[in-house]
Amino acid sequence: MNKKSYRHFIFRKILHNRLALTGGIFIIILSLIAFFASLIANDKPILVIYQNRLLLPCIYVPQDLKQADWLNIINKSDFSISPPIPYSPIGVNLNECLLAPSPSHWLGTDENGRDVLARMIHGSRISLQVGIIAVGISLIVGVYLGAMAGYYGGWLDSLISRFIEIMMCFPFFFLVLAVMAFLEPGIYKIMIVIGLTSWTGIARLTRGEFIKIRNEEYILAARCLGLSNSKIIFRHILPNAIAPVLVSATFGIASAVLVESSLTFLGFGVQIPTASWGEILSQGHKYLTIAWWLPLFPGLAIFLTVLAYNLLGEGLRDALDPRLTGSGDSW
Amino acid sequence: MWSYILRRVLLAIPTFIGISLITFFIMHLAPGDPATMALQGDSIGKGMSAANIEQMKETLGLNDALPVQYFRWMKRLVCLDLGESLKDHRKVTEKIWEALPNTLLLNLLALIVVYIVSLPLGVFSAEKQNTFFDKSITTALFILYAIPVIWLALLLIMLFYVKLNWFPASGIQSLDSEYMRWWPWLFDRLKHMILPLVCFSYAGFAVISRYVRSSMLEVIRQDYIRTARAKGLSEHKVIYKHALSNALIPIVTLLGLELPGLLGGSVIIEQIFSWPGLGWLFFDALNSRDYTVIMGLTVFTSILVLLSTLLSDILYAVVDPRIHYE
Amino acid sequence: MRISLNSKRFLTGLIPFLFLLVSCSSNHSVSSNSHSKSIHSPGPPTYGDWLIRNLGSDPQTLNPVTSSDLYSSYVNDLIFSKMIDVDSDGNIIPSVATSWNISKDNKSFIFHLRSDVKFHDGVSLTAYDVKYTWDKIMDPKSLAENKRADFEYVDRFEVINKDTLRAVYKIPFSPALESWGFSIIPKHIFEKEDFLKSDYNKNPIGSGPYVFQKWKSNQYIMLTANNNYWGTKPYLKKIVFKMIPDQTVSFNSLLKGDLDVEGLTPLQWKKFSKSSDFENKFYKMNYYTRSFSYIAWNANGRNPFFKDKKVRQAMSYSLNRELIKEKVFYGLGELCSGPFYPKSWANDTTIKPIQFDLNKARLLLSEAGWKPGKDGILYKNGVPFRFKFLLTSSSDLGKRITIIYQEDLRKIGVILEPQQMEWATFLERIKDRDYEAATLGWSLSLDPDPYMIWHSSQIKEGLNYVNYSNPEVDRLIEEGRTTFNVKKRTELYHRIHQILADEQPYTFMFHSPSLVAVDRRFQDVKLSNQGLGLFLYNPGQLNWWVPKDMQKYRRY
Repeated sequence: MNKKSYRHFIFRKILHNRLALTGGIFIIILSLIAFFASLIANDKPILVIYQNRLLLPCIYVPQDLKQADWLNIINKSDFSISPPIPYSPIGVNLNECLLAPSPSHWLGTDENGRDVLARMIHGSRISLQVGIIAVGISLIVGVYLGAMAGYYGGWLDSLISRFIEIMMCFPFFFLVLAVMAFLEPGIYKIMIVIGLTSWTGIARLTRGEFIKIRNEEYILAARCLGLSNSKIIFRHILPNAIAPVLVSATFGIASAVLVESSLTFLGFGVQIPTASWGEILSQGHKYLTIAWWLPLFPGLAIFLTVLAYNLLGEGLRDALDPRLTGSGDSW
Repeated sequence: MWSYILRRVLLAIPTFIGISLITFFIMHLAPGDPATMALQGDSIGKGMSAANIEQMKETLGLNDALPVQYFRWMKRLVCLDLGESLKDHRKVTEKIWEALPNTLLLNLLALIVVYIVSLPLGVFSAEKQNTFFDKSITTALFILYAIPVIWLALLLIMLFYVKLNWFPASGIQSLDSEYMRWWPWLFDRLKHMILPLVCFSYAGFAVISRYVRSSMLEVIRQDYIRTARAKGLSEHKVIYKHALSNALIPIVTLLGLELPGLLGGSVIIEQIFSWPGLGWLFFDALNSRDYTVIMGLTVFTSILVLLSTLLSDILYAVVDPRIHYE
Repeated sequence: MRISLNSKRFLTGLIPFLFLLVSCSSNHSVSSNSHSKSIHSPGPPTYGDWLIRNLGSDPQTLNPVTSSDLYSSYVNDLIFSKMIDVDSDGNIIPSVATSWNISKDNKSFIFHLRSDVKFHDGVSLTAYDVKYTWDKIMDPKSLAENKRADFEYVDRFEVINKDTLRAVYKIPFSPALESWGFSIIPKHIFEKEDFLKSDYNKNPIGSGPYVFQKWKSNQYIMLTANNNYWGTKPYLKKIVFKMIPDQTVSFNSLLKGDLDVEGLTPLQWKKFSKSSDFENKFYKMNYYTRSFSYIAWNANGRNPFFKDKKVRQAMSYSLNRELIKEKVFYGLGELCSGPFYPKSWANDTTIKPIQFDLNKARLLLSEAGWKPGKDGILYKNGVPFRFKFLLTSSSDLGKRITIIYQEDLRKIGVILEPQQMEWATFLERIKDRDYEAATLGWSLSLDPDPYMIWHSSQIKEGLNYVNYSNPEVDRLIEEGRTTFNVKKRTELYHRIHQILADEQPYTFMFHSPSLVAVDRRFQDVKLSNQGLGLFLYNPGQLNWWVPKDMQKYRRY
């Protein structure tokens, strides 16, 4: 099968899997929301004509208006278009704190009067990035090292395995705290830490698969044919070895989102005043019985995102696994 | 095989030294120190003058050069002495020994529960791949997995402790547990254990059953299964005798890797349920910069990790005849 | 009873360094919220029942000399006796020491002890035990630095006979007496032990009203009433300290009766405790502690912004404390105007806290040379007014204040950049004076002597973290510590209060309210007038009792 039709083939397989499709669509919508967050929820107008100037404040704010009061400007402007949710995720308004969901605040407000929906929309950026960055790092590092170790064996395997063991010995919190202590804390650094601590599982899995597969006949055949090592690794062994790694990776993305919320709960996640789902959730912990919207919506969002990633991952795995695309063989 | 094991054991030693070195230096180089942390506990803060902090550091031996401190620690370690906590001067081994059974118990039980439930679920899912059963189980498990632990813990407490009063929400035993007879005592301990156990294990169902399912599916495609069927063996024999035993290979090795996790302890769950385990101990030690306890716990976890990876590798080779190590 | 220092995360509503000493305020009596249910039959007190409290986390150790955290003192105060104690009005009262004399030159104290005090193992307590305890405190190897600081000016402390001791000071030192109320440890036990590692640090033997029974690490500590107590035997049979760090869980435990006493957050107080159900079950106590929260402006920090008094004043005017008190504390608590707690005689009540006024802040800043730039930010000599603001990641209150403050400051063109750090790192930065502004709190001793925090000699190595140096204040402090005349001291301290309120080296923020609920089955629950913890003055809980028909724990 050539490359193009292979891709189509995979794509069609996923499309047929309704669960995976739902998951995929959800992720796409979420990504769009995250990308356009500034345009969807902001106290600045999308477009405004003010003092004879045409401005697009959501995208660029000129120097002299950096600290301006936007409500004022909107009122004095000749024409303006506001985002659908006209609240900033960080705009404090103590007179409106802990309001239940209402037409003016669809998901209510938090303890500082900030609109929950706006915070959720901006918070989606963090949640999406956490998964991608963390798992991206762990995939790249883990698969590469695992493949090297599994394929070449010998002293390289020994060395890499010891390295994996050393990394495994470091408790996660220790590293998080070390990062918080040494560097100025920040959510991106935490994401990197999550990535750097979770590659070991993937590495060991990959290594195990490679060890198993490298002695298979078709690999021996490929070697006899004189294929270069890297071609063997990446074109022949890897696609066959990737299945358990993908399962691991999808859980990884999902768990990274959950880890972010746990870390924020313990005080190590996002910095104020950044919005993140975990942050709203940990506020909600305090207000459980009086402000039910505070724990509910971020919890729901985390929940749905994790679910979506997992379903999509499952579908992807089912589609990609060459062994499962075999014809006929069923129970 | 034995030479392999021997080599691994020998290699474990420099690995271990490497780990301890790195941990040691990271800890000491991070800002904050146990003397300041211990002294700031005073209700007036008087103790926190620089002179006092210096004094305490001197007494605790923290002013010596780092390599000197490291060697001192190493020397004691060789005699199996992990030193005393810098916070309350109790022996580190004692503190770990106290917290260990609590964490171990919870983790072990969680592991058993997870595997008992996930194995059959995974096998059935694979058997009935893409049917309604498979899809709904998958979705249900993923839904379970996706619930953030803080949420679940709080919900469980609200429901089972506050509203229904079935289970307690904190501690590992009741105040008068010492006066109880055998059976009520056991019951009491179990009651305290249930909510944290649920929180510990609920995420595992999805993960393990996915692995089992994936492994089963892989095995079923193999030629020898087709052969077995062609030979006329009953479906039952095919699945449970031939397929399952092969599918369990990666699962068994996975089990080996669970060992370090046994001593992990989740900080959040332990704090919410007041469960005095290793997670809480470690977190507390980190916050108070209690170097000796941190090092002690690192020793524990390192040894366990090294053991478990060795075990896992050996199991892999033992169970799968295709694998052999030179 | 919430301590912020060791349980980092779960103490919402507190700022680090702030010990929420459970204390009492003047006008609130226990039954201020009493509804229909009146106190049960006032009869003679009966013995029995348990009191279950929540410590939040394990105490460091039960050796009162080496321990430095408040948790330990809650437990130790019940197990050990002291020479002198504090009553609910903040007066020093006799305990093991029946009387004391101060010499004419104010430099010597002579303590006369009771002769009937026995340790829990039956051995008598004598002056030698007191001397031994003091020696141990002064011994550097005991790591009791925080207590040693109190005795800096002591020349010698000697035993005269088995019932008498004398302390001689190098200079007359008025805050001295309070420091002699330390817990007395048994000499005959500890002299044979390794002081730091002794088993008796986990199984203490004292001479106090309660005997140590057991301690299950991170689970609970159990004490039993001392039947051979030399003083009034306590009525409650056992006192149990549980460890429940999570505030939501502990509140629910209180509601269910698994805890008898618990501190409430302002939120819980306002929203969850208003039902008649709650009021029928619990006394609600609201009072101020001897503590205050503040924002420290480092006058010698990396930027020179806060050297200027006008700038500091402007910063204070920009903090909307009234609104914060209303929204974050739900109207509870009090604004702080100076370095003394509200009920202290040193507090000058005529000084009013600064009112929120952004225009005034703008004015002050422009007087100080800060002009708005083209982008709305204030500039002076080309430098924009941006500063880093330190807070801990575990302080909920700190976070909320920072968020609100940041917004208000932005309106006048000042950019606040929050830096959240983990507690140990935070402390390190403060200690090294490596910060620009930070939010903190102080918990104060009974004696208002402000030497350690405000004297210029304490800048380098003491607790004067803001590099505050004012010769007049120095002089006033020094005089205050050596004067024994309360009236004279009051004048001096009032003057200090005025100067500090003017100079604003801190932006004094709040006196946080201490909100405690106690199960109504306990009788004779009284508050102290002086901001003293419910459990930190005599007799406190030692007087509580439960009528026979309301007792919950009877079997053991």
